[in-house]
Amino acid sequence: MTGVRKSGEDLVQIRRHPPEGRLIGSGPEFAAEELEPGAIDRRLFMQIAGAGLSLAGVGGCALDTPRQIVPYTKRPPHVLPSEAAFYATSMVIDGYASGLLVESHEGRPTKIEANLQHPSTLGGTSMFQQAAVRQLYDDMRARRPRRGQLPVSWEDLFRLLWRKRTDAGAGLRVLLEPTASPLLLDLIARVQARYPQARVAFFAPLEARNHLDATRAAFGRPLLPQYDFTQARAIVSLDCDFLCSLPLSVRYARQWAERRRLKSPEDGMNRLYVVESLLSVTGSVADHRLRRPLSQIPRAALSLAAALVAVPPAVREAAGAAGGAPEPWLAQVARDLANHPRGTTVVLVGDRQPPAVHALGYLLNAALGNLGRTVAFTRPVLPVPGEQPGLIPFETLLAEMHAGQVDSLLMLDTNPCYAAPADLKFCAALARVRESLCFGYYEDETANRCTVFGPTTHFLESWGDARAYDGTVSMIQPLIRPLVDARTPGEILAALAGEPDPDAFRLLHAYWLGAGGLNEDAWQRAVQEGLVIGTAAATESVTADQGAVARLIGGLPRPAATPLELEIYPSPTVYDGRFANNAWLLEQPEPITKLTWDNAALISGATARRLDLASEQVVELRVNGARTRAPVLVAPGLADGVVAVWLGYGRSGAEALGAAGFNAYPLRTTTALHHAPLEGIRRVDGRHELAQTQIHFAMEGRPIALKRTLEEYRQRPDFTREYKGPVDSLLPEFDYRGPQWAMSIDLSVCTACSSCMVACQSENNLLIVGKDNVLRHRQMHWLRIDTYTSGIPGASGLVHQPMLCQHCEKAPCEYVCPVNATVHSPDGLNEMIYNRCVGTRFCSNNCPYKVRRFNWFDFTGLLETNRGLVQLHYNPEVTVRERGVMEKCTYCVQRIRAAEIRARNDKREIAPGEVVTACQAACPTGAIQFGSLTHRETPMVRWRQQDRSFAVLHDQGTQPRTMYLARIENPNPDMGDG
Amino acid sequence: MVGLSIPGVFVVPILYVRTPYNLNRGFDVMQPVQFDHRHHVKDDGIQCLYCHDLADRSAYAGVPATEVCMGCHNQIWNQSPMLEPVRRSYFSGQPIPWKRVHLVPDFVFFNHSVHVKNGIECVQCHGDVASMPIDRKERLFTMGWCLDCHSRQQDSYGGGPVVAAEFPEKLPGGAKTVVGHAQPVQHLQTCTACHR
Repeated sequence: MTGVRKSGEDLVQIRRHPPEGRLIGSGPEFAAEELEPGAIDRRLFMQIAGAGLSLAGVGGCALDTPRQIVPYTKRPPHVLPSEAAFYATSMVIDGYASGLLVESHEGRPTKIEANLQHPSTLGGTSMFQQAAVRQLYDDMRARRPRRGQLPVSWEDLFRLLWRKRTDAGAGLRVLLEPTASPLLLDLIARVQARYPQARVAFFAPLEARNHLDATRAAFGRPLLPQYDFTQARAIVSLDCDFLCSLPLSVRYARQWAERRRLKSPEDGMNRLYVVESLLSVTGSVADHRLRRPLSQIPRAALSLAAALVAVPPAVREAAGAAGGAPEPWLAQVARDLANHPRGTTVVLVGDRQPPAVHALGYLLNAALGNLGRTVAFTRPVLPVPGEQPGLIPFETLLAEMHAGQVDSLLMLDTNPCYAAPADLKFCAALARVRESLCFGYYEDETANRCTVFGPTTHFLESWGDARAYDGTVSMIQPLIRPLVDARTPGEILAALAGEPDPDAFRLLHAYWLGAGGLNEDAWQRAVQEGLVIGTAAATESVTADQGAVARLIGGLPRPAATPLELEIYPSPTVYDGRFANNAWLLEQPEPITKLTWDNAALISGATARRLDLASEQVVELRVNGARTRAPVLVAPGLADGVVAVWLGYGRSGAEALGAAGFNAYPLRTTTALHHAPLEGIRRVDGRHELAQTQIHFAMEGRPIALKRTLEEYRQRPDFTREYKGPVDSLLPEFDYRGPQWAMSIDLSVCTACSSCMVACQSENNLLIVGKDNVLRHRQMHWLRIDTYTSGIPGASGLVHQPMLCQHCEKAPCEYVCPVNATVHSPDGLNEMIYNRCVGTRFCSNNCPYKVRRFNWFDFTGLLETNRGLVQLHYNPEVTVRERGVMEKCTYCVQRIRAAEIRARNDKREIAPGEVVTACQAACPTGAIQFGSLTHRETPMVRWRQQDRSFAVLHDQGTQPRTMYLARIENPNPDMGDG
Repeated sequence: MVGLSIPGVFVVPILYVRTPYNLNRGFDVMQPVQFDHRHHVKDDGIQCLYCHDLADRSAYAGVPATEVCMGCHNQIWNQSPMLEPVRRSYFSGQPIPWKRVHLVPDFVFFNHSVHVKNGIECVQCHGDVASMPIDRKERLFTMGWCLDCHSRQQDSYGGGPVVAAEFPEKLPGGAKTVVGHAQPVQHLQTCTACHR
């Protein structure tokens, strides 16, 4: 029938929803009561309106007063008003850079795209990269330096840093985010030259470290694994969300997708096995997924090793002895791996797993012949404590602070008071430091406890450099002067090193023309391109020490049987908390649970039944003596017996939006960074509403998001035949002329990473509506990702479907609009004209795809988060909509018209692929293709000619211009789901 | 009397707002610097695009930056009291606040370059500025006025050869042929041509 079964009980019960699925939360979308704080009722409105009408004529009496035009006095070179300019720069997360191309309108950065020259991407960006521009225009960012509570100038602060210490730095410690920046490392060396006894520590709450211990054991030296999925035909991920959460995930996702994009039924595709606990983006697109609590995954790895014939017998025996009991699911995986040619598989281990599992993973890759093909090793990009002189581990720093040996602590862009493991008691240690200097983007939890604070710049305001995960030197150049009185980390370190009047550009330029070894031309080119080509780290040749690995896995602790396990994950939307004040990311539905504005205690359906809990009830979690209260959310695909929480919420600093949710860091200790036995879970009074944008995950038998297995597809390639093709229509034929815009979306490779949603938000000036309005389903996302389930509580088999205006040829919205505010264009667009719209909402009512969004309020006036600095972000090519008008996806019409004007001015036709929508440009896997139907050689057209293309709700006769390609899965025919 | 005055309350303002007086049509707009287009164009023979140099490559025609004025007036009439505001602006960096003569509302995305590059003369929209000692609005930029031109001009501007092309696939709607990529001006009457 439809190809997708109705959802299973476990998944449908994610929320106890009323019969009409859409009506949830604190009120229905069309609630009459309390429309707006301080709103007036209808009767009063009519009275005021009547009085106002009689005065209306008077308003028109005012002269059409001329406005002003204020030109430049001297026009800056390279600024062409109304034409966007693009500059290459880099964004750094946890020390690894990714390359970006930033769009600037008359000096304002407005939109972020990928720098296609950079190794971090093969096209596409991540959600965090897209949202970075919102962070720049955050009204709550720190504005000025202070000492105690007194405002001071940067000159005063720099004087404080210049003053030469008399203790040779014995009491001086510097704490910063891990960095591989050549400039910063050089400045650190200069600080150490001035203060030989000063020490530096790195801290990032989610820093990946286990691979270092593992490579040290397996290969004798710390190394960094580099993956290549272009040849990988079978992929086994042990708790590794490689499609979304690794520094090079955007690149990996494209490589993975290229092997899943079937052109015909004869094509082969890769197969993805995932063993994990919390359903991740990677797990949601797996062909087979095994649910295991985090503490049990090492045992699964051992079972896999024990079952794999290629593994050396010594290791296989050690794995068996360490607890690798035979398991049919893993045995099948092992058989499938062995059946693939050598060097065409890859085994990935996530950083939450202990070093022994990593080492075992490397050994499996070696045994399968993958080393040098799908897996390679380079020297670590980030400095490693013990190898880098003067670099001490974070724990050592804490011990020194507790012992009172630290006199001055300088912290750069790090927030350990909020994010350090609870047992290190960072705040108590900080109180013992006489002089604590904190430099950060927000006046956060750490800033509040420091004696001196200074704001740092956003990367879009900074000069700097960094290294990508593969070692490539990446340049950071500013697009705008700092909006506040802020300095870069480089300037602050230079001041500490005794540099008078430090300037970020001069520091960087001097470094690269001196120690960096570039000449002026190469430097110009590096800044222009955003990277120094050819600086990727060289691959190391390695030989695995089987004995060491066998010893390591022998030392794996046997997991104790615990009734409940607490698992701690980074938030998919606000990461470790650094994006917690980013309204775009807070309102961004989490890819799997679709939760906005909150984190929650996630439990599986079976566990909820066992504990007699339901979504939105509040529980108290107790672990290692720490307690915290959290709302319950029944999550799909989570392992049983697990309570999973996301980090990053519950902020208590100056970032008021980040106060949403609860803080999970107090539950985290150095010995249990990722999971711990839960000592208690107790229901407490109260209910916490959770704003999910999707609560019903079943298709109820309708052909919405189709999927088939590869085998089924090969048997019947034309299975979508009944979901496309001509349909009879009473509506008149339309006179189409010019290019015919259309979109094709491949569901096979959509991973729900949600980069497209944030890109759309950024490009089209979408406003934030706040949690209350999300509860009423008034969110404004023009593009959403619907997720449908096949009903197996385990697991895989989800279909993610980006849903946006389908630009129907027979659009149901058009013929119900009483004022012709939504009409068709000759080039096939369904147009929405805001200044004609009177807000009857008939169109939304008649839209079968529910992609139209209504401005219930003047959201700019209603919510502070839509005002202030963020108004500088707005794309000047797109109207900011006002109260009372409908809006929806326009296929980025501003980009289409700009391309048309360019083409007409150049006396040519629009080239194939010239118009790229914001979602298409952002998609890491390239699942979205846009273009004109008249350009037959483009992927967009070729895709929709394929067998597996279909139109959603084809039976409605809407004849949408957006067509989808059915998801094809590649399950192992020999196995079921785990 | 009463019967007339009640509709009059509405009708009179409605008519008033449409008068040229209210719309500033045909009235001189006094500028902070008494700039004489007639003198610069007719006496000195300076082309429009010399000062409004963005008109053929940007959405905005661009009121020239002060440095454009000073390009000539640092040599000639560099002591003129009439040019004092220009010199003050140039040396202080404070722009000259010119009064707007032609206004296109914010919800209209008008592009100068595509008109200028495709054969529309400045005078067609802005009137005979070359004869104006003081600028004034000659045409009202109403939507009807824009559309009037777009529908009347047929294919006389831009457009180019109209290529008939078949859809690469049988579209469900049964649309068979479309015209090639170059749209005649006539078809740029679609809403999103200007409203986005």
